[in-house]
Amino acid sequence: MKKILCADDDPGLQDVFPLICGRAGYEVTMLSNGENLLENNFELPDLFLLDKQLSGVDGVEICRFLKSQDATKDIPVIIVSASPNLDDQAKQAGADDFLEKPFRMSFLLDLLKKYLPEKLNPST
Amino acid sequence: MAGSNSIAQHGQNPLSIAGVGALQTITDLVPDLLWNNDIQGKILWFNKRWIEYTGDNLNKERDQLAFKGWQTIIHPDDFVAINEKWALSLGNDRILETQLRLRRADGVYRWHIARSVPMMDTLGQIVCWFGSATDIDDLKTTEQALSRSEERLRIALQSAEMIAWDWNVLLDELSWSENSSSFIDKKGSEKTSALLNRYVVSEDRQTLADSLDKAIKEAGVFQAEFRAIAGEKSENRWYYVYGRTVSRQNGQASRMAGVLYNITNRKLLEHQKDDFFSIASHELKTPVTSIKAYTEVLSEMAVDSYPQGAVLIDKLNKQVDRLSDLINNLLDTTKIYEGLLNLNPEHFDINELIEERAEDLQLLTSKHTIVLQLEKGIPPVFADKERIRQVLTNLISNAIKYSPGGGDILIRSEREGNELKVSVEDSGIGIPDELKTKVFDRFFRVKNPRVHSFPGMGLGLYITAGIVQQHGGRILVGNKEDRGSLIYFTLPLEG
Repeated sequence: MKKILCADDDPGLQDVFPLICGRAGYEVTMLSNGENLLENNFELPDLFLLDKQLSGVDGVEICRFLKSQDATKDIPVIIVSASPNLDDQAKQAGADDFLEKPFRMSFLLDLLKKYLPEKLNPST
Repeated sequence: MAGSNSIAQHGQNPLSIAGVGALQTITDLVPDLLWNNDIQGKILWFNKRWIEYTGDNLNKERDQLAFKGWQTIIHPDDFVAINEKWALSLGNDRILETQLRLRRADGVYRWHIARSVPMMDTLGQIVCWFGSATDIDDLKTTEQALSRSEERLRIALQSAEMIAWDWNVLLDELSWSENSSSFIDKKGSEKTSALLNRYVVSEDRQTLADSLDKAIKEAGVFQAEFRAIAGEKSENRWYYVYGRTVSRQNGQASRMAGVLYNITNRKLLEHQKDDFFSIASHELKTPVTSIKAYTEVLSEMAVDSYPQGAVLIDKLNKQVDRLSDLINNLLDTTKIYEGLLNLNPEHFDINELIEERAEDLQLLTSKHTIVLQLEKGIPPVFADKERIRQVLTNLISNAIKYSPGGGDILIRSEREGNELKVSVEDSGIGIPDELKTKVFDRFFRVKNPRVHSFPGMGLGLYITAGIVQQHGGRILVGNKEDRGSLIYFTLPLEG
């Protein structure tokens, strides 16, 4: 099963990501802040899903950091944000893609399918 | 008078030829009041102008004329001061000069400069005085008006925290009005290049210098915003400068004048507003994201196990989408209003986008048929694709909304010279002539007697117009012969 590491500090969304991605057959680990990521304190996932506005740290900066580390530079990063104009910024930091809030569930799942090509069938 | 003898001694003097008669002619010619008085102040003689001005008795011979008395001629407010001055001057031979108001024959007082010169005998004693009075009333009134006007200007500048500047371009001398030290502290003249380098931040110097050069060459108007380090605490400030050409030489500006003011507060406010947008945007959208996610999951769950629930959840989902759109619209409107809309342009095919929108929106209506008449071979347009998509969605959904009876909706695209023109036409309720420009106003909503009200906040066309105009295009209501509306917009094409 593909593992997703998701960082979002909004309590309203902390259940949503595991719920949606879990239903689609992915294993999700939720982090509420980005510090662990900067301290290399996590199990390597198959994909990073980062909110841009994490308390205290900018998701784009975390992305830049992850892409600069040998261990994580090849792992796809998707940045999620409420601001629509972050496309360029995200791409410049090395993000593989960008998801604008509020998003359709299907958009997120399409992105996951794109960057995690082998997916197990969803459990219903 | 003993004058004529001494006059005769002057030789070539024309007076010596003509004599006393000439002297009288001259004194009557002079526009000033002239007189001669004894040491008691009694008038011994006055010129024609004196008679004309004061209106003293004209009937008698000049040397018999009755003098009304200084008090009737001099303005009461000035009389006391004059008397004092006069008393003081009796003891010496200096010229007495003063400004005072003299009463004209019609009763009007006018300002004059009065001068008195003493005549002395051979023993050095003052025998009499010769006096003249020159009318300076117009000058005085102008001076007072100017003084009041300058005072008003000073107050205006001070309250607006502006300074007025004056620049002699040819000599490169810059001077400015006095002001509080809230901005440029140095008073007086200083060379402009020195000033620029001293105050303006390095990044803004070139643009400022360039716009100034342009204005000089074209003898036109110039305005610019720039940052400078100024003030006692060397703070970062924003300034706005405006100037216009006052005089020209060889087609270029030789002198310019204008104003400069501190817009730091305004700029701070703009930044605050910008911050507010990103914060508000994030705050509002986040709960909506959660709601949407849960409704979508519920929808999936309910489809198989709880079909009645699925229908309700579907409606819920649509409302969430609508809420999301409304929030976006509101934030867009504020951005457009403040001029803060950011565009991410790219090259794309307009016809493809129109086809995509038409297909999607056709699904929303069975009463209407969307018909496309798209010109082939239009080059790719360089614009913000997402925003133009928004424009098309708005125009097409308006066409649907405002033709409740159904009918065709015609979308055309064509190239006209350097422009792309896209029009959306319906056969609905139409737009009355007097409202053709108003429909693009913020919050404008249609009041149609047949329908109570059309839903919406009246923001769609305002946003659409804002987007089109931000791209450098135009948007207009077109003329239609038959019923319905025609709205078209243009976008610039490259090359």
